[in-house]
Amino acid sequence: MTRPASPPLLAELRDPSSISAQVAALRALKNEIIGHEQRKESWINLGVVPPVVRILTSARARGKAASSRDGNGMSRDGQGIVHDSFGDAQDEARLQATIVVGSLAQGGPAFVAPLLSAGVIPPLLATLAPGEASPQLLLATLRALDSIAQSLPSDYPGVGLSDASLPSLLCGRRNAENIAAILSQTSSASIIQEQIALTASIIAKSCREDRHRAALARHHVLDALAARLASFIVATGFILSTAEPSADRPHATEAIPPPAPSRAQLAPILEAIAVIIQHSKYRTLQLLFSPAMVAVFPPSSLDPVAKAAWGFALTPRTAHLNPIDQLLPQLPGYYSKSSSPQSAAFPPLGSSRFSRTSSATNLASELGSSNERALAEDIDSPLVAWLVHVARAEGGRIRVMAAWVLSILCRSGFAHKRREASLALLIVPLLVRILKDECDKLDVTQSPDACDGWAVIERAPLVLALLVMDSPDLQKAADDADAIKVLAQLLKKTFEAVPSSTRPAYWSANPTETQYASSSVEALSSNNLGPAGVSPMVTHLMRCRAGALSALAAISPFKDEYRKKIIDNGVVPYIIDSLKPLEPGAAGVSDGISTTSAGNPPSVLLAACSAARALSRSVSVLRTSLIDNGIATPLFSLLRHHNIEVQISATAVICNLVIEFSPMRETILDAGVLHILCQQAHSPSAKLRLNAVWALKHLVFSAPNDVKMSCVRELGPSWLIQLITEETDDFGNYGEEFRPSTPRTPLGMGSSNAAGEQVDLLNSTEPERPCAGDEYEGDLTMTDSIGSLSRSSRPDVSLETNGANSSSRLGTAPSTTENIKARLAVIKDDELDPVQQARRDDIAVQEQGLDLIRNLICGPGAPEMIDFLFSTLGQDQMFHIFESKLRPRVVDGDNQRADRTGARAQRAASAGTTTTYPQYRIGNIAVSASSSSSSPSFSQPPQNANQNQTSGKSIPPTPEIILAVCFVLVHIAAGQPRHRQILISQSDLMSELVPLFNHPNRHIRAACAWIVINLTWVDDTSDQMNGRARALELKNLGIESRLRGMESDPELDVRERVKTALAQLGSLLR
Amino acid sequence: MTSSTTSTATPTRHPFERLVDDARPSKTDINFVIMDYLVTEGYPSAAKKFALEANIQPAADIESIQERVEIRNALLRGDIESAIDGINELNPQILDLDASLHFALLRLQLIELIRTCTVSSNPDITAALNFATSQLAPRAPTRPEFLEDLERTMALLIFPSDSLAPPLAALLDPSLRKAVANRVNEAILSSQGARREAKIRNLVRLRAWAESRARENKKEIPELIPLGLDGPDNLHSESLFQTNGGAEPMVT
Repeated sequence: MTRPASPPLLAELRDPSSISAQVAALRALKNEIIGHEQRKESWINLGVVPPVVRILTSARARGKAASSRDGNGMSRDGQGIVHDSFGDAQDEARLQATIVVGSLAQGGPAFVAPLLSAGVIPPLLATLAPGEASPQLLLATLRALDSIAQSLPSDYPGVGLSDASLPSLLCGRRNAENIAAILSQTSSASIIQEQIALTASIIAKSCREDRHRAALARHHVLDALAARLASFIVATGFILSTAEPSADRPHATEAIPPPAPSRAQLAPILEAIAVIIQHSKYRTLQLLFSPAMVAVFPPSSLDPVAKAAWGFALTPRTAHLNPIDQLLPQLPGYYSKSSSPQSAAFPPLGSSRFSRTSSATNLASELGSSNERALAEDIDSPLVAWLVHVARAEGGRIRVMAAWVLSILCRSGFAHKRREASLALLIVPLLVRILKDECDKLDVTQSPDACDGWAVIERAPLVLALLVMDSPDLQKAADDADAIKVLAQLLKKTFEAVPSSTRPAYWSANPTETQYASSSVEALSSNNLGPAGVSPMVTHLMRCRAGALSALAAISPFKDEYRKKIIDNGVVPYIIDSLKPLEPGAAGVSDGISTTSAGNPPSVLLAACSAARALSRSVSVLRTSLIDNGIATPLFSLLRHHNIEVQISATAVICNLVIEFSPMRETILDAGVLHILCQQAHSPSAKLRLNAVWALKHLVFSAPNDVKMSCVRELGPSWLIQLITEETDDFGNYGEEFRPSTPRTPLGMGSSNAAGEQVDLLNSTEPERPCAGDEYEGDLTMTDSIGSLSRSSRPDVSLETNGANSSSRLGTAPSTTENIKARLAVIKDDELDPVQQARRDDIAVQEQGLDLIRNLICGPGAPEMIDFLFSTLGQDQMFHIFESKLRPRVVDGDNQRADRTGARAQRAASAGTTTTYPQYRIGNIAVSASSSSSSPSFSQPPQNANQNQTSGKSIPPTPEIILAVCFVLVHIAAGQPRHRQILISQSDLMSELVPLFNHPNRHIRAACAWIVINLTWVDDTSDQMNGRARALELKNLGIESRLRGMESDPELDVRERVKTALAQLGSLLR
Repeated sequence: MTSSTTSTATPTRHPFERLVDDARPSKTDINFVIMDYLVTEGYPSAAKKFALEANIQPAADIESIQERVEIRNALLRGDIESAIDGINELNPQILDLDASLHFALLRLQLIELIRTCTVSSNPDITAALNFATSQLAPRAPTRPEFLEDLERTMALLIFPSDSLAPPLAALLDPSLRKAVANRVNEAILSSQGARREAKIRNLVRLRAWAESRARENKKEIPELIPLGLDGPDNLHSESLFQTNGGAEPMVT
């Protein structure tokens, strides 16, 4: 180096001769290092970091003292001026030091590491306090924080920096409030606008955990961002407020923010909002009900009349057509296609949320007349229309980020179902096109300088995935836009070899010179560069890879046509490659990753698992492409991955690979999957437990008895008992009474009477086929559950039944803020309460556990297995559990959990509403695949959320559990005559069954009829006497008369079963 | 040049001209475009005067124009070092993030060093060599175009400055300063979240595009549609803006 690293400069920094000399030294240092990576390195090695950080800290203390004096109104006498100029110099030193830090941090993780170990973050964050810093200093600080946040959490855990202090500190109360204050500045000066944009960008970069997002929402950062967003809405002139203060909202207009200045940047605001509200309906509502949003788009614009006009455009330019919708092209043809006279008659309530998932379509068609069932969550926020408009009008990053927020809103149920048509035509093609353009531009040899546009292509596939994942219509739109081809292209591109180093080494006139300093300075971590971490290009490619895989998974879950197209595009080998994890000990990994071949980070593994799961739903793909490419081996190793989310996803794929007809079943069994799954079933993670039991359920179906028995032994009989008993005795089954006509088919049983015919596996949308034979085969087929398995969101029944009254409640705008607050509180409870979450998890696992037992005792060796279970689990205990499952429970007021329930109910009551809040049920909104960090595994069945029960009431069990129990009984009755005798002798259990014959759920009614059919089945003459006794017992229980009453059941399936049962009963009683 | 941009008066002799006369752009719009040009291109005092004259609100941050103007003036003067310092003062991230712009600036600085030593009677190329070694050479291997640029620049030391091949002569041409100054201006503007160039540039391109489309499709338009700025010989809008737009600062 010809401009030698000047020790005088360093000495000046360490021990300043005067404050102005220090400032000069800092300024010189700044100009030395900006843009010079090589010099940054040698300065760090010289030990420049600690003194600079010290200046930040000490200058702050003194600067603060000075400013507080000013604040006290000290007269500006001579002394004061001296102090001020001293303070000014201090501020200047701090500014220059901050700039130096920011410039060093630009260098990437290697350069951030020494800064962090010198403790740079606390003084930087302290600068954010209001009144603490001049705008310039604040700006420099935000820039430095942004650069640090950029290199902070690596997508590869364990590689590069793993310092979590920035996000945690950032989301602390004081800092979060400071952030909110920065965001709330309304000055149009470009420096202020830049501060706002940087703050939003820091949030987007560092907010990676749910607790951080929740903290930011709690501390009004979300409100501040919403106000910024509202200011853009004002700037476009689309306020829907009448601007006339109404009686109940006298200050409504005050909350309307001034229009956004021309320099304000929309994209970072949208991104930060999306980052905060993702995965949470509660936070999404917080956004919609934030003061500024309510002021700009008052909820009264959601009243039923307006809503009728909202997304509909049935007759364009009706009187109530919303001004914002008028900006969007009318799509009459598309609308008429999806609108039925029925739904037109019930505009805001008409569409079924069900049709979002295919199982739902199935159910909805079964329900027939219940189509117009009111749906509670059908709010169509005007924000949705505005975002569609923005996404169309703007390009690049704004478009993608607007689409992201839009997708979150849609997936949380804040867009009218009718909007899907316009999304299909207006948004999906745009996203695919932007993806294609960016994909064509993607060049692995590109220098990392061009990373400006990277956010677009990293985010666009994820947004597409989020948007289409539950909607067959939107999936079709994506396919029409050729998304599969583009995504396949993108995926393949991420496997192109990255040039060995994307940042070629700098040339040095004297290569040895750079090392000279190290020896002279003590080997502090703040004086040495950290590990290089992951090269930016690799990170970028991995994000693209995860995005492409997620989007492919989201397009293909329902239709074989799309899966076939994916295979035809040659994607499978790449998916298999994406399943290969990064080996922690791999050579050179600890120093940094500069190739994509080193293995995949968890985000990619998760996305690859969901893609594999989507593909494995197709029998043909399962039998050909997936096995040809050897999916089993990499997947199997993921079962033992150290990241539990990866384990969960891998287990979900295993679910599909171990079904009876899978060619991989033997291979996987031989590899010892049973042992792993049984271990996982004991996991503390509810999700993993669920998936493992689920996979076991599939595995034991039609398996030889020795496999079944070893499964029970491996799981542990007492554990299995505990699994199906767990918790419910105390507080398990709520809410059934709120859905008397529950239409929902419990998972995995939808087509159980199809008796193991797997043909309709591929067409989960097909209406259920009626049972073919009258001999009940009685196996719990797993086929349907494959379909449901990866459906990310299941229809939410509880929403449905109360829809009529609840949506009218929602429809009428919340007139007071208290009302809004009360609603938010309920949703918050529902979403965030760990007890409720645990309950949902328990019920889900229980259902699977019962199904597992069912599958254990069906098939050829069933009698032996029944005896085996009776002896290992305890016959009496089993029946006792089954009985308790069927019995309605009384909530015990002494129970601590019941107390909480009561409190919630009280709060709900005080909020002015009297019944439950089913409309706020947080179904598991299909956000899972939207983020690489969360598991794209199927969601927990969202049951039993409504437990705003008054204590002391009796609560019937959920239909899912009832059905599961019933089918276990069906199978026991299908055993040998003595099993039938044992069952009929359980008088308590049998009497619990009686009311179920009139259960609103048709599947339960059918299952009850099956029990009778099996109980009255007579194998041979030796059983004749006992058979007659059983028939008499059934008659005495009043079951026969119940069956007579069911002869005119509206459901064909039930009627047929009842006919058979009555015939058999009759012949025995004759 | 200031007032002439607004001139629309042309003698009527073609149906097209009547159309032009009918389409009267609002004065506000024209004022806005002019103001936008003055602010974006960096003419603070002209902007202030214009605001006064046209009775409109002066653009928000005249101050930020001033900073840009100083940087540009430094560049046009050939004082690259203070320009770089100024850029770093304004936004330290610009050069950290844009290696290619930084390289362009450093190369310009090298060219200025070479210029000083070649024109002086006693050529001492040590300064230039040292600068090249310490500043430019380390970066050269990172990108092929850097290497090529550096090699070509170093060739200036070898050949006599009065008989250079055209590509080399272009390096010593003041227009290179202008080009770099424009890049810097655009980089600063975009770092501030503003448009990279004045609206009127886009309008002029649009006009040229529309005219050529119209001619392609044989629409009835006059053979020449003058902009009405200067003499009749200067009709091509692009070149016109090249010469007028990036001209010497208008500090009055």
